[in-house]
Amino acid sequence: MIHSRSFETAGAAPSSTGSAERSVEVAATEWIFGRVADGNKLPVAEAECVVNVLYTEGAWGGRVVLPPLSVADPSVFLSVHAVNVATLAMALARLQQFDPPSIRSVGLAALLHNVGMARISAEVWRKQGKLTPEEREMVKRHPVEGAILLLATHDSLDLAAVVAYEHHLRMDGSGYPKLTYARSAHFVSRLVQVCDVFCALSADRPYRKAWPVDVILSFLDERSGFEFHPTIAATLTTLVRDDLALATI
Amino acid sequence: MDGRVEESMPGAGGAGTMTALAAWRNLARLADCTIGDATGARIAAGLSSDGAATQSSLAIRNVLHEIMVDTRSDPDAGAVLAGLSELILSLDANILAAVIRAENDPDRHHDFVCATAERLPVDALVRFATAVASAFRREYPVPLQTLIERLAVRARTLPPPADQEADALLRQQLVALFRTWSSRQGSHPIRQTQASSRTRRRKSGRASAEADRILEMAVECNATGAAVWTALDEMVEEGGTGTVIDRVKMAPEDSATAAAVMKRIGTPQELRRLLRSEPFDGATVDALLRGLGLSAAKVMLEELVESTERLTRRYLMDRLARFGPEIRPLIEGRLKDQRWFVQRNMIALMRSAKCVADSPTVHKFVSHKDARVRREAVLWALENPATKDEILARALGDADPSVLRPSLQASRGSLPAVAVPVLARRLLDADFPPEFRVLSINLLGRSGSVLALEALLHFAQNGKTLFGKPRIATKSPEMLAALAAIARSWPTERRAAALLAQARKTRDADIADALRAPGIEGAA
Repeated sequence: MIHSRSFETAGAAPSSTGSAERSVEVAATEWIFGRVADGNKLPVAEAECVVNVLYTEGAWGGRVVLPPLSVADPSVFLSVHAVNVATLAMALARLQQFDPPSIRSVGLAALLHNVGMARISAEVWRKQGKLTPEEREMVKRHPVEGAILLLATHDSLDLAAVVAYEHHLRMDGSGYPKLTYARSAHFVSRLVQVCDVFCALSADRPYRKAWPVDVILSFLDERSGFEFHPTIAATLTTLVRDDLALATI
Repeated sequence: MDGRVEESMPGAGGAGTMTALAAWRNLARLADCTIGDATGARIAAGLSSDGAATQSSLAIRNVLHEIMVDTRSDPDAGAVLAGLSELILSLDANILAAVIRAENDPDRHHDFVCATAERLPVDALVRFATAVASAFRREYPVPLQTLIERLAVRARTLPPPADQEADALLRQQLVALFRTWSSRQGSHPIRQTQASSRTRRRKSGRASAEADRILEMAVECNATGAAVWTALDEMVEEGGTGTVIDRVKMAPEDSATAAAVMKRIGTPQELRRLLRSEPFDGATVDALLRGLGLSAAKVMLEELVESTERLTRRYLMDRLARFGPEIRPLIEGRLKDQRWFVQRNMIALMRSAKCVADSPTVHKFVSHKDARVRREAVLWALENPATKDEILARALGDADPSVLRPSLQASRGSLPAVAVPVLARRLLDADFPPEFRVLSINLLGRSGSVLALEALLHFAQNGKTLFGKPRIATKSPEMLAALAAIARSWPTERRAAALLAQARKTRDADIADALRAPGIEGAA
């Protein structure tokens, strides 16, 4: 039976390596995003540290339970979401037979996929109510802002830049930003996209409650092949069902 | 092990040739410890007791450096490192930071902290990391410290092989952080230490973004930076300059990225590579040349000289000529090359680039031993009114048809007076190329010179009859041309009139035509 709890609170029962301890990763990510928001260079080594810790948590067979997330404080939503997406993306990458360094690269790209948000006025993305059209346009700039930031920071962040730029591009060519050069999104962008959607929908937001996991999985399944990469969506469904099954034992 | 390094060393009590052990003894002496009894904790206590560490921090640091950096292959270093681990865990935090800070040379700093991150036992690494952050006065937030501690715990407690993986990641992570902290700007770590370096990921494939994707994205975002340049360099190295240029063509006209990309790839080295590549891609080279300007000319001239591909040489001649007279100094430099084809091409380039023919250069090359060089020199000189007549006179006397032909053609408008005797003389030479005779006769005919008439009579008249009248030469194209020229230019001259009178008596239609014709143009 599918667990009906919000997935982002599914790991409420903490384990020695599990979700409750991810508050430190969240805090470190919050510090990283704060540095960027203040106009500093992205602390790459520190971001890698978050990913390495998340990676070693899962590498030896630990469950990929997402951490408890307090959405009561929207100011940390970005960081919590980033950690969740990174964790899930690395789990999917592992299931996709990526080698260890590649899994960590996927994790870093996933952790930073929304880093462009840090360059957008916090008032906009923390806003509780409905966004105005102008504000929505500002938010839609975050893939470009993220890509600009990451491309300029270090050449090892090329994949992260691509993912930041492409994670809102859909399989059917819709989404944003608009491309000058026709191309499909990178596989890792597709992978992070699915994780991004899953984690976003499973969290309580000021304007809506978290979706139940089975509803999210149905949503992904319905749009598989059009909006989401079918293999990735299927892999995520398998992963989540297995994980929930473990959690309910 | 109880911490007594000397006893735990395999060679303890030996001749003291072990570097690590010797360094450890030095450390014990600095801490005023009995050497045989020197544990890490005791040395730490000794160093802390009377401010010894503050006074000798550089000496301590040098000893630590020696152990970390210089004893990598020392089989006994392991025991010393364990002692060192105990020392670091026991040492006062301020003293440890002071010891790390004691070195002023940034390279040695770098070596030391990175070697320590790679070699120090895990239990002391966390403390060492805190001390490094403090020594470099870098921000080391509590969550990050906790994450490092967590990695260290996993390196110690996870089951194999996960413990080794965590250990490697911890050390790699600390090297990256130390490099960041010890770098002047406090920026990101250098590429080689990155677990996620692009080169490494490219080998594994799936977690690597294609270089052209990065370029496209950069143009779309109007972004530049390290990742863009790495991708761009990769494309160029792999022969994708044409692809780069295609992408740039699609960019908005005011795209700063497109301009920066063209500037980066528009190098003389890349131009040379493209000029040598097969098949030759003129469109790509053209795009590159737009950004390079005259700085490309040197490479282009070199390639013009060396290229064995006719298509490439022809392309280069054309594009070099477009630089115009500005290019002259570079061509003059190349004219010193003694190879005939180089000199020929350079003179041809002078001409097509509209460089004015100067007398010294022209004179040097119109008397060149190789007719191909002479020909180009003549063609060039003929375009300058100041040198034209003189050079024409000289060239019409040239024995080589390849020089003679353009000279005759250049004289079609009017044969300079100075050239008339030369051509008249040459026309009568037995080796004068027959195909040029009619044209030469016509040119001489138009000159109206008496010297020319002598030559024309030679072709139109064949001596005299028994009655002293001029005998018309056997009919030939040359004879008809000479007769026509004489009829046109010297109708009343005594000898000419006599010949023409004789000619009019014949019933030959061709001769009649020649006498009526305004002039017969010979084909040359």
